[in-house]
Amino acid sequence: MIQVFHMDRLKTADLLPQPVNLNQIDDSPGPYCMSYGFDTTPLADSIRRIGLINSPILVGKGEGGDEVEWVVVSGFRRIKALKALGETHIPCRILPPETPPLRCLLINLYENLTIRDFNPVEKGMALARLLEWVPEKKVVKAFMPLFDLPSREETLHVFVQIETEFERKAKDLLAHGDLSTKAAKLLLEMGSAVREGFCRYFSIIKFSKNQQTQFIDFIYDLSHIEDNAITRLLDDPQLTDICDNGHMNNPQKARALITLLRSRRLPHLVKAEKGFRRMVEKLALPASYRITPPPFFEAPQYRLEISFENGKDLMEKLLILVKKEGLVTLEDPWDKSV
Amino acid sequence: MANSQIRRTLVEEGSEKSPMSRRIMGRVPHGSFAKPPGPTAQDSMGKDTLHLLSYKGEFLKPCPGTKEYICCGYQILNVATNCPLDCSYCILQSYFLHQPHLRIHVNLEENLGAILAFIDRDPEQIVRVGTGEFADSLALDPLTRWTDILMGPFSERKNAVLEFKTKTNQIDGLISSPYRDRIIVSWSLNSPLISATEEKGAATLKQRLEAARRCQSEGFVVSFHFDPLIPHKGWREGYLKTIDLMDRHLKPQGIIWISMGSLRFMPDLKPIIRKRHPGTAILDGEFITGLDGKVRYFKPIRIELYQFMRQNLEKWHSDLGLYLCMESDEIWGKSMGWSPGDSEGLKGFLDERVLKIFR
Repeated sequence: MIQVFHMDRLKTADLLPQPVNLNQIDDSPGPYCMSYGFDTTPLADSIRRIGLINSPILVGKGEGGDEVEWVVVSGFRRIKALKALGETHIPCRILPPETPPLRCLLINLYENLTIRDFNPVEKGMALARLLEWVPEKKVVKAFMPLFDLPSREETLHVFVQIETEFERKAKDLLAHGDLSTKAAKLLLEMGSAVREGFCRYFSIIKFSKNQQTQFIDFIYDLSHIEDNAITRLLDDPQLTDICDNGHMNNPQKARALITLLRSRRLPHLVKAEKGFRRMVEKLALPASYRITPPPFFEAPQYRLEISFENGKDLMEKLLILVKKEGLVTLEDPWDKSV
Repeated sequence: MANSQIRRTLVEEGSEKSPMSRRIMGRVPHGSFAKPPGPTAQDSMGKDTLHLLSYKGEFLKPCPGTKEYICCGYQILNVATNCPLDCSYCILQSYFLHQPHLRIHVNLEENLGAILAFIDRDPEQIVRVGTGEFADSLALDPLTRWTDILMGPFSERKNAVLEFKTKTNQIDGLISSPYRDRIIVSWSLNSPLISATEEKGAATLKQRLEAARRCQSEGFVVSFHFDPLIPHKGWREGYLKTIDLMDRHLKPQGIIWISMGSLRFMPDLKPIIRKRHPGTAILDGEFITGLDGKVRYFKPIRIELYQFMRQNLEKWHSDLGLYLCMESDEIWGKSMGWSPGDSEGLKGFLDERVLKIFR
């Protein structure tokens, strides 16, 4: 078995390039393609400067009568770049027509694995194509680690769903790193109109990864709580006004959106945080004193930090604090009844 | 209930000869035996599949409380995992995401000796044991007859109690048993709305309380768990209705304890709940991340829930053994008016209840 594979491998290496009319190559993402969201410009530049180093691999379409005769096995990006350069005929290696589809797929997979990283969309493409020929368990065990993915069925399903269910906009964002995989996973649970609504925000506002999941989560929760459709919530003028605000930069807009949604999602907590800040401000302590609440007020103790230069300074500052009027009024900043 | 839901039964190799397997196989629908396991849809959690297996781990384990909150020091008797009920808030949905099916540990009888030896090693130490942590204690009892296996040995021991915790009215196994001593029959309760909308497959509140009344009249000690308390529209009226129903059905003097806990869960449960229970309202509350990493209600909300429940339960009866499940010393103090201080203190309080009720 190993010997046969070895001979096959040699055969592929031995294939002599032959000129092929570019118009006869199907350049739509075919059954072996695992390239998405790439920019052909650097590759076209390279070809323009030093020529084509590695010729694409093609296989016959297998059905006569069509003007397009060849399917790309490997070299999808090169063919796009060569077309962009206005080439008409290019040297290609042609696999025998009887080459099994899985072998074609593996040739492309391993060639790509050795030279580049896959973006999440490309991982989904490759895994979805593998699943057509390889049992799921084997894909999980043998192939997912090749993409630096954990060997878990749910992870496989997420990536395959990205390939099969995501619209172009969502795929573009994901491929370019403007949508985190975690956020993409959340968007998979939603319909395409809702997804489109979120993607509109993610293409305008550069949220951090954490902010993206928070944004989705807050909107999703609020749609339930306020009994409002997600698409309508996303069109809420309170939100769109922030996006359109010319006085804020991008990170400020992201923060403002999260702050707004947080205050709607967690009104009592936000009110308590504001109340606490007011109480501390009222004390009018100098900058060397800092009083902070525990995260979410969950732990029982508040925290006092004092910056001081030496023991004498500390003692003086403690005395100031002890004499501070209003200190005893510092208490949990929420009403008895929520 | 349990029988009608079972569509197939899987028996793991080597488990088919255990007495419990043989008993169960005699009771489940004929022809449903199969060799395990085929992948089961995670969405259904394999709740229609009975899976008989020999459990390789420890049967008796302390409740996995966290040091940040006060734990009651309960011992979990791990007789099964997963449950035919389908409560939207159930933490088992994420605990057993990768272990579907109603898994029955059919080697319980073989391991009973070791379980009892643990209890007997220190006769002064009260051991509170429950089977309702990873499965409903009674939902599958008509098939498994855990009541037949466990009630006798626990009844004979003065330093242990066994709590069957359920949301069903499957009490035939209990009632037909001659044993009463050291057995606690316990029901999870909630407001009528939460019970009706979020506890799929469970008995109605009325059915649960009728079963509790029957158990009381048959000489059983009973307990209740308001867990998870969930603030929802009209929650005060809702929980008052439940307390009123308790008043109409039960004698409060025979209640050993009533616990209260508010909805809390690990963050990974949220997407599972959203997916499996799309219409649920339980995620609408104001949640924060607790000291143990679990999602829970913002502190004043919890305090208000517990205060309200405590005040109204105490109006009904002043000695119900009220306690909080997995709450902080601060919350105890602010909502209950006292605090056991730490887990050891709560354990002591509950052990005292055992000594008081089971004289």
